[in-house]
Amino acid sequence: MIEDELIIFLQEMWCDMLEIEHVTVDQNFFDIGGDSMLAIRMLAAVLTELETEIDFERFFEEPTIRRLTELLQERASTESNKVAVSLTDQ
Amino acid sequence: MICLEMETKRPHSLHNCNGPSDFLSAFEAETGMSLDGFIDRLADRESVNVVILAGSIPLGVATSVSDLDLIVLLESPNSRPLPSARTFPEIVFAAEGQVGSMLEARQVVAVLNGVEVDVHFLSAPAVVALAKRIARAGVLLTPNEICFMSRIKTGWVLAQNERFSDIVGRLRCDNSLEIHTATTYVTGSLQELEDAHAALTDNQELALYLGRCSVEKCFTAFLASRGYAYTGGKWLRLIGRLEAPRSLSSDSFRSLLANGVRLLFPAPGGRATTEQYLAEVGSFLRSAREVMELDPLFKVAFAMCPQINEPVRAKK
Repeated sequence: MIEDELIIFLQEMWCDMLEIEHVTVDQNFFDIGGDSMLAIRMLAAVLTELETEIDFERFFEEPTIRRLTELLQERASTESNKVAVSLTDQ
Repeated sequence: MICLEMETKRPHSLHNCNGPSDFLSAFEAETGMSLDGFIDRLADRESVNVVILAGSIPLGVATSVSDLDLIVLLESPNSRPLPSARTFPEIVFAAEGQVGSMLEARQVVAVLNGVEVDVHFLSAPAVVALAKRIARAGVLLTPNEICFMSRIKTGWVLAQNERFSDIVGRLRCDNSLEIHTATTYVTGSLQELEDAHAALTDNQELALYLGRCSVEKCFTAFLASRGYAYTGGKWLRLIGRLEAPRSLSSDSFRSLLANGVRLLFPAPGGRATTEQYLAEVGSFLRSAREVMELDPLFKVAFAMCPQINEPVRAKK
């Protein structure tokens, strides 16, 4: 998923979960109605939908869509590097 | 507290019922009274939102002498005076009280034609408010709150008014209670194991006992992760009825549970034996957690809980 698509996907997910109409990439999850239980549901949905596990601690240092997107892309690039290395090994 | 004399009770066949309608007809046949007729004698019909059969029968772990646990959610406080054996001869116990901090309750125990029926009248608005609280930020729940909320979710709805059916449906779909309970008990099981290791040097019996407590707490978390936040005293029987998650073979699942059950009954021995036992408990806890974490909700919940992750960090 390219960055813009990922951001739109996450914005829709957050709006749906938090029952709000709009969210910017820099809004803090907990400032716009999020709490720990909703954070669990949101991150579990990300894990299920995108099949990508992120470093939760780093997300909670800055719980925004911008940070979540960065972490997901970082993870995706690590995973693709792993695949590349494994293909090279073969 | 009034205790029932054993001869007033008799074996019944209600534990064989396989659903609400089956139960309602069997109830009338066994007790000689319809459920509606029984509840009508205890509360105003217009105030009754839902009647739920909770406890061992819907969980499938009842026996022929199990009592019937009914939960009645009332829209407004019960206006009827507390019943007594003088006004209702089948009543053996009745009391007003509060359950936890929010759920105002009245409990009535009756023996109807030899079948013990235990009825809890709870405030429906308080139950709804508690469900909302559980679904939000981290909350502390009392054991009674967990017990009643779980029983409402896993019980059979025997009767409900239409205006409340959506509320009951939503309440039964929300798994926040299970997330809270599983996280709390995984934390507790790790703590017990840590305490068991600390006791190992000077008190083997205590170490064994704490190890066993750790396994039991892990099973409580495990059952919560499978939808049973409260199971009562017959939880061990329920273990045998659990189905394996889709991504795990039935054999591996059964083997894990059988190993856990074995660890509930440690044999006393020397320090080496106790040390070996605690190592096996630790291994069981890790395996059980891996199975719970097959569900992303629990994987994230555990990862976000510092009390669960700190011991892992300390070992690294």
